Amino acid sequence: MKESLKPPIVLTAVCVIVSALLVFAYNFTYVDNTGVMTEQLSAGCREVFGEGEYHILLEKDTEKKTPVTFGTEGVLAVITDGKDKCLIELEQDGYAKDGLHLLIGLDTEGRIKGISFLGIGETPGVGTKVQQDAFLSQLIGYGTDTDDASIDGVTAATFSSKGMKAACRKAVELYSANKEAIFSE
Amino acid sequence: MNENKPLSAEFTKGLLKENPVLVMLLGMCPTLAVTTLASNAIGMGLATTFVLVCSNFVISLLKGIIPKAVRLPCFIVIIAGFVTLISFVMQRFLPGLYESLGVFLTLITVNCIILGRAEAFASKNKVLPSVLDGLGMGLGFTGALFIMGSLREIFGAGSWFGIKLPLLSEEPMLIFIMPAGGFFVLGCVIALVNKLANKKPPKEISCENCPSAAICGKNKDKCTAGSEAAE
Repeated sequence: MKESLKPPIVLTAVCVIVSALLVFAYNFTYVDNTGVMTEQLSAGCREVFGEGEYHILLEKDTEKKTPVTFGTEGVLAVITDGKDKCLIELEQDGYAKDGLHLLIGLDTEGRIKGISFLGIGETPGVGTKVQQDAFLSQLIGYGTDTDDASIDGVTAATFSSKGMKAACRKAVELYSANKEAIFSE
Repeated sequence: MNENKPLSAEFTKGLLKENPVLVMLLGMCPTLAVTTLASNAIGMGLATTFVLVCSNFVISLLKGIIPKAVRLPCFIVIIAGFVTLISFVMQRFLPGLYESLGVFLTLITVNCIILGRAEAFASKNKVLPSVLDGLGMGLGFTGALFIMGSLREIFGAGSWFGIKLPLLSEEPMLIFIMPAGGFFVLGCVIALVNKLANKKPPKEISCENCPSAAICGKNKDKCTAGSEAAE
């Protein structure tokens, strides 16, 4: 009887000990950055608009810091300087799932002023070519009336190019639909 | 069983003679997937080394306590614990590397080098040899990944650790960072290692030519170490 009980007891003990240690490790290393203006985000904002005071729009009625996303899928945060500048942080599928992590800056007319890359998980040397000026410069001035077909994609990086265009479309549509709400604060 | 061997041999055998990637052909998934950049390859190799050393250490400590019937689940839980730990640490302190390794970081759990060493070595040997074995195998893995990553980045992206190289960066050979290029480079590196080690192809399948022979007990009828580890 004792011999047959030993294996499950040992296995359970190993699982419990490992899980307990991982709880400690998690509490020790995890930092909740939701709704916090990190150094990386500030740097991205400065890259697009230059120096300024930027903050993330947060839901007012909750205790926790929940960024306003206007119900748009993929949008992580909306950042403004409270006057006329607006940046939208979003993740978009490229060739990799959520491979494009972007900060898209919009001017007062709702056109794209600049794009900053917060992270890129696309194939190095292929999908990452969407970061080059030859492609990015076509997206400056992108608005709701821009025809996606007028923008040349990057050869061999079709999915990444489409992802970039989809991200831009999402950003300008969010802006045009919620312009008042963004600057109401 | 290897008590007569000097401890340094446990360490050095993983570097070339029993190199997990280039000789035993284990751990092919991360070898081909994350070696598009030299920095990713180093990161992946060091993360795997950490898990390998820690899991070998713990498993060789617990080898008397864990019953044979549940040894594999216990090993996997311990390995998965260390992998989760390293991914927490990496997410906190190296977010860039964490993002570029992506799912392959968590997939270290099922890297057959780690379970293979746990089953074939750490569960039969004392603590110190097991740690040295893990360290040697891990560094051998890192070295192989680093060679692969460097070659693929230099030829495929025209850079090395992100530093642009003259001539090559103008027209990089994209095939090298595509999946097919990974196989080409791996094949060439293995061929080169075999040439340097003066290894002849085996005339018959026997324990003599098997890199796992030292740990499997040299029993010709029961040559299972390779096939077990490969699973």
